[in-house]
Amino acid sequence: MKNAKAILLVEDNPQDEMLIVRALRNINLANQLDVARDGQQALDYLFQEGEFAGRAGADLPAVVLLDINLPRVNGLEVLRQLRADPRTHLLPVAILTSSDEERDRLRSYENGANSFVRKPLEFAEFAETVARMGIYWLVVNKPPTE
Amino acid sequence: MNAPAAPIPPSPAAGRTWVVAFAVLTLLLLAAGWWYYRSEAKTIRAHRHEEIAAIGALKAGQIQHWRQERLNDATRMAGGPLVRKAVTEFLREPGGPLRADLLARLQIERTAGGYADALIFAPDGQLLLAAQAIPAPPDPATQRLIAAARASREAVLSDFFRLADGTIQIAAAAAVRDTAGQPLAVAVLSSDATAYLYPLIQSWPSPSRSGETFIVQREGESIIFLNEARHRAGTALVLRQPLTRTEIPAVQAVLGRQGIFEGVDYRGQAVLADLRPVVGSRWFMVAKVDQAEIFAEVRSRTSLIALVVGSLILLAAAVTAAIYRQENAAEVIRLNAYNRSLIEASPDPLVTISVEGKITDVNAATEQVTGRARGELIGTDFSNYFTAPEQARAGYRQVFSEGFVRDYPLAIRHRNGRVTEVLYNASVYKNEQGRVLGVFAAARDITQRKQAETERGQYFKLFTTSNDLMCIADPNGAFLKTNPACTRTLGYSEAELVSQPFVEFIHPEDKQPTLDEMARQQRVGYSLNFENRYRCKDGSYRWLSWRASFIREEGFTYATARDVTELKRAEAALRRAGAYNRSLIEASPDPLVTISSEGKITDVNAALVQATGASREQLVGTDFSDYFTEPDKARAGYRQVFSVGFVRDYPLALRHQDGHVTEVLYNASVYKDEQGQVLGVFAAARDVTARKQAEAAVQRSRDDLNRAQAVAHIGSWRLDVRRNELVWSDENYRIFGVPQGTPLTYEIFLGRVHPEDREYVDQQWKAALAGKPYDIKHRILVENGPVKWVRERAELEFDPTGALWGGIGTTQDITELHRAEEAIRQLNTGLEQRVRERTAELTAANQELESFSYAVSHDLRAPLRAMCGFSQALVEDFGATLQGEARVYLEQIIRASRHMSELVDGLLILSRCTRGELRRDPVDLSALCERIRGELSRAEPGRQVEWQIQPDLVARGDPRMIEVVMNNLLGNAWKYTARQAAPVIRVYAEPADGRPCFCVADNGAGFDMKHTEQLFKPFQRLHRQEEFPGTGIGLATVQRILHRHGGTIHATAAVGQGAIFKFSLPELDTLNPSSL
Repeated sequence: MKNAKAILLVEDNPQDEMLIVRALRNINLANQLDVARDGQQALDYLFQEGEFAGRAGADLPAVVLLDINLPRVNGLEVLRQLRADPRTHLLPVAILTSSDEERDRLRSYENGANSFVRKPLEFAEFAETVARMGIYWLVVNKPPTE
Repeated sequence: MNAPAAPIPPSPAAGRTWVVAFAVLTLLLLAAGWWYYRSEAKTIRAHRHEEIAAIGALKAGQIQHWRQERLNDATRMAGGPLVRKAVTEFLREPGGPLRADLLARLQIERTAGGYADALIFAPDGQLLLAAQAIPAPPDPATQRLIAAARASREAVLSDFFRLADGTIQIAAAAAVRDTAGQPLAVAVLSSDATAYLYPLIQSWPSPSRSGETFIVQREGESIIFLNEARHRAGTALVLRQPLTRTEIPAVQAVLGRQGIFEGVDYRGQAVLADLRPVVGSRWFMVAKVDQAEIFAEVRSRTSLIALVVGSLILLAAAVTAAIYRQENAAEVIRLNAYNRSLIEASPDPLVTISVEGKITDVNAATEQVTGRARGELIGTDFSNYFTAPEQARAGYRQVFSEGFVRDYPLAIRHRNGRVTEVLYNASVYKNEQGRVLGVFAAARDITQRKQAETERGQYFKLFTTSNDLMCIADPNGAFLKTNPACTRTLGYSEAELVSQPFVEFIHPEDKQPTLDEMARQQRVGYSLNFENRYRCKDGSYRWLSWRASFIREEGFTYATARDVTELKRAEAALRRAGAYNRSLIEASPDPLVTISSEGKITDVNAALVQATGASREQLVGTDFSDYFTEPDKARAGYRQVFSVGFVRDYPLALRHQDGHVTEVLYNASVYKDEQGQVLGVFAAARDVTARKQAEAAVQRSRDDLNRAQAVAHIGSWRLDVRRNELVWSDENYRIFGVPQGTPLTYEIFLGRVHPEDREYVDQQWKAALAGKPYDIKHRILVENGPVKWVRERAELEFDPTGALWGGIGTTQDITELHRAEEAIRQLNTGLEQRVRERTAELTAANQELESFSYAVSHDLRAPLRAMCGFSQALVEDFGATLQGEARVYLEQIIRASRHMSELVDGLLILSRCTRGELRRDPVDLSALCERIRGELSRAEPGRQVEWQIQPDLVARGDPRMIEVVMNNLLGNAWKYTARQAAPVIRVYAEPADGRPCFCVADNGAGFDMKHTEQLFKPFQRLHRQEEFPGTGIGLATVQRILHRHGGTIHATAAVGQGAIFKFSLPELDTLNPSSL
């Protein structure tokens, strides 16, 4: 968590989480991963509130991998709040979801998502997608400096 | 004396005509000679053109052929595996046994082809072998040739080149190549140009002093002659001409000109040349001949033509002169004979008298009038032959003294005593010295003229005094002469009558008959009592009755006419009166009859004929009473007339032959002659059948109206507002429940209106009387009955003066209708409520379905991903430790979860396609297909599929849905052609039933058409999973999308022969996307 180059995965499905962790582990990025299991937890983590109040002053992750269907606060609402807050309004957010509904995609981008990726069924493909996203956001992407 | 006019006798002027004719002929001959010379010169030139063109073509062909032979020889010598093998061997071992073989081969090529030498060079130009024992060292031209052959796959030909010994050569070369195509050696065949090619070029196949052929080629900015010229030695490869000298044919040839060219050759001679390229080379063929040679030929023809023309002119001059001379001699003789015959032919007695008064000559007319022969007359006294000899003598003396006499009256006595009165004209005639030789006297016989004058005077009197019209008409149909009776009768002057064709005076109706009569008259020669009308000057018409004779020889018509106008008028008046009476009788619609005192019919009119069906002939003479249903009553009737003098409205019934009966009323009276004697009865019947029928019809329609009103529950009424008199129909009484016949007023009606509506009805009626339309519904009270609803409508009525009379209207009982309307109104209110409820339900259901689909897409996929993912992770991480079957089972789990995932996706697409808004945008179908094609090809790069996508296809619809359609159709085509050796997928537009359709066709597995019905049902598949995997949802989705768009889809297929899916989208067209 001290590492500024961390990934925040917001995922309520433990099986998907396992698969994502496995994929990142295979490219040695697993130890830079934090997981929030619902929308509220993700917001608390990022705004350093509630159970994450202790994180005050910590750096933001390099990217948030955000599911849409989440308990408590859903992904689109999380995204909306992130964009509304000056601290996080430039934070890279990639939507990673099972949905391929047009309206989900549309609303994600309308709310300021940086990318929209559908979770593929194929394990190999899924692993590769996750790995590519990890590398892209952690290694390739140059975020704006504030 | 009136001499007959003589025709112009031939005169010396004719001589001039002959001179003119000669001059014209000479000019014609000269012109013909010139023209012939021109055409001959043209023919000769054309002939020479053809000749040199033929020679040029022949030579060019031969040279081309010769070149090809050289190239073929070189190709043959260098080509083929045996040569390659031999050269390879030789190169490996230059001193080996193959050296002798190759040398022998070169010798054969040299001698067989007539070559100067046959050689083999290394590719770098070093000489390896030569047929000639002492070959010349390779010169630069040969080196260039070897380099060209090395670079070319085909044999090449060198330019001409001059060897050190002065001979000119040309060589063909081809490379011997190893199997990889690298040159091993170059075979060269060199020819001595002077041996065969130069003679071939130079020889001229027809005898000509100057004819010459040579070849040239371009070198830089000049041309070079490649062979020896005929007219100058040492030109080969030496003579050059700059390209600027365009008058030289060879320069023109190199510059690309072909065909005939007239110019100046290298010697400065004017020449005619044929130019053409030698195909396959840089050479150009020039065949030429000196213009001087052609002109020599033309000149020899010219002198021949000049000779012929000159001879012909001389001949013409001789002939003209001869004819002219002969004509002049004949002329004198002819003139004498002509004068004499004129004298003899004269009908007037002519005579010449000597100074002594003796006759010296006479003509035939004199012989005739005197009855004496010419011999008797000549030498006798002229005066002897007249009744008054003294006067005759005085006459000719007067001639001698005065020189002439004019119209001197005498009377010649014939030998038989007949006297001919004549007038003499005479004059003296003299010899050349002016001495008087005698008198020439001509007499004119005036006997007949005198008699005719007398007769004419009598006829003229008859003509002018006649009361009948008399006239003469000329062949043109105009009056030539009319008599005073004509002008008297018609009122025109004679000048007016003769001024225009007489048909112009004739009544328009009589014009054609008159023309017909004239035609007949000209045929038969006369007309008798032909009548027509002439227009008089005052505009009235007169009837004329004509008698006329047509004199064919003159073409004149002589006619007399009598004015019969009054007669005609009287006749017409009589005829009109009779016809008028009769037509009155016949026109009467009432049967009229006259009956004799015996009761027999004496006359009938057409109406009676019609009423009885018997003809007039049948009726007349039969008993009157026979034609009635009651003969006795009929008899009683006419007897009553005889006794009383008349009957009035006596009813009887006439029986027609066909049985039908006409009821009539008879009115009859007796009629009498001038003496008061009763002749018979005149009876007129009036047919009253129609009246009786009309009465019955009125009664019937009244009944119908009453019945119709009862059925329709519509009563009618009339209100006379001035008298306040209300009249109701039977039905109106029934509706109001008022006893029939009750007297009514407006107030009584108002009293029956429901109290709540009374004021409203009264207002409306008053407004109606002021002109407002009256169409109202209100309630009425019925005694001992329920309240009724009625609809009242009315129109106002006015009397003939335009004053308001009242109104006529209807009352419709609408109680039932009103009740039904009430029920419907209540029903509608309920229905709207139910529709609102159902809409809300449907919206809820739709929303539910939508959230269900959404949940499916998320929640159903997640466990699948887990199943699939962990199975694969298992295989990946623990594959080594898995026993054989465990691995198979895991793969089955993976496969099943994949299939399920596809099913979930398919279902999602299907459900998505049935909801949501439907957009109508233009979709570039061709571009879409190209994109899908790319995706499919990338997914399976190993497959070779031929795609034929028609460009610029544009469909109109929801872009995402159309993408789903094309994804499915093209995906299917791709999938089902997987086992095809040469798969083809086509996308094109095609009209069907007049609407444009899109087609996706493949030549893949296809299907049996009897299963077509299952094709578009969800989860129905026509192939087993292991044959072609799939979900069975795709085509169901496609059909649903097209149906949502209002379109259709049909499939045609056959097992193993592919399938065609043809679909339509309404509003779709094939416009270019750019125009949308």
